[in-house]
Amino acid sequence: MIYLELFLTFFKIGLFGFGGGYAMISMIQDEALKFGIQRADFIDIIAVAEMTPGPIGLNVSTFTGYKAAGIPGAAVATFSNILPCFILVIAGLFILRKFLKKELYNTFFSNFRLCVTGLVASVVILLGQAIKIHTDYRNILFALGGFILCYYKIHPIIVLIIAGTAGYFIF
Amino acid sequence: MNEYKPGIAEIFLVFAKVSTFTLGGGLAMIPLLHTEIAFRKKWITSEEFIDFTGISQSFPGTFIGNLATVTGYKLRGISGAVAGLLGAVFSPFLIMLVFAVFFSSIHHYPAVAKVFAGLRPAVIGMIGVSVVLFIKKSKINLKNFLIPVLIIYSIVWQNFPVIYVMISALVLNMIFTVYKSRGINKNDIS
Repeated sequence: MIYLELFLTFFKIGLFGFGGGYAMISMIQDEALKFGIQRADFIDIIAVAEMTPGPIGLNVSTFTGYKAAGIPGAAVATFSNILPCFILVIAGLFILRKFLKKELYNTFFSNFRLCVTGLVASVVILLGQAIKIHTDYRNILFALGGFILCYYKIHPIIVLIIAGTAGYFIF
Repeated sequence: MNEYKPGIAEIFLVFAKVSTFTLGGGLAMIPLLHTEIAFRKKWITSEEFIDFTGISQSFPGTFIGNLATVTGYKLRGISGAVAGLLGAVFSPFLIMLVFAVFFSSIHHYPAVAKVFAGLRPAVIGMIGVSVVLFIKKSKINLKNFLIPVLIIYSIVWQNFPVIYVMISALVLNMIFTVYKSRGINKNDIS
């Protein structure tokens, strides 16, 4: 049953979705293959999620759920994505206050940040492979442009508007 | 400290409002949230806001969802936490749904295809920026750079499912942290 599978998948993603939106996206793109959403289609989902308000990880969950099983699918994916975080945050508040020593906390999270870095880097590689980024010089230019604009703190929405408009004329 | 306790509906509405006006997501909304809940509403102090921000970022899940949960919990217990979280996800869900329905019906037009041909590589470049930011924040050195390399290797070349790679990383990291902290304690004693 697809709703149960969506629930389990997004519950799992929510449970281990440390490291913010892009880390979560990395996991979703992997699991989305199961629901017949290819990596190349998934980039479109990310683009749309970047353009809409709200946390990007959650937006991608909603859209992926919709693609997999329509509006009920979207609701199931969104709900099961936030459920584990909710439980963990409430439980974590108690535990953090009682047990965690400062140095333990710091070691744990500094190592974890390294893992998240590797995770997000692999997504860049996987998505690049999915659209065969090296086969067309225009792809490289757009990727570089997106990187540079975003690096210099141009708002993501503006970057996407520029990329979309330029894409319309150039491709 | 609090002159009054906000109702469930008010908690819901405030987080719904903030999340509606957050484009691009995540930490961009910190100033907006701070103004709204610490400065204007005075639900929590600025110090509490910083603590809550740290907690929200340390837990899995979306930042605003976690912050809404923690803040709501502080204000009204479990029901406040539920109200905050639902408020935080309510409007993104509706808006995204409209976009998803709309996009699915237009994406086969050639003009839309062209626009997305430009968006795709740009999105990859933009995610590249967060890789660079993460590298800066994670204090990579000659000793520990193997950790991200190993993650990339197992995901990209070995095709291991991403989520299991991260769960393994999490568990190994916990074992390592506990092991290391034992060393620290022993040193302290001796």
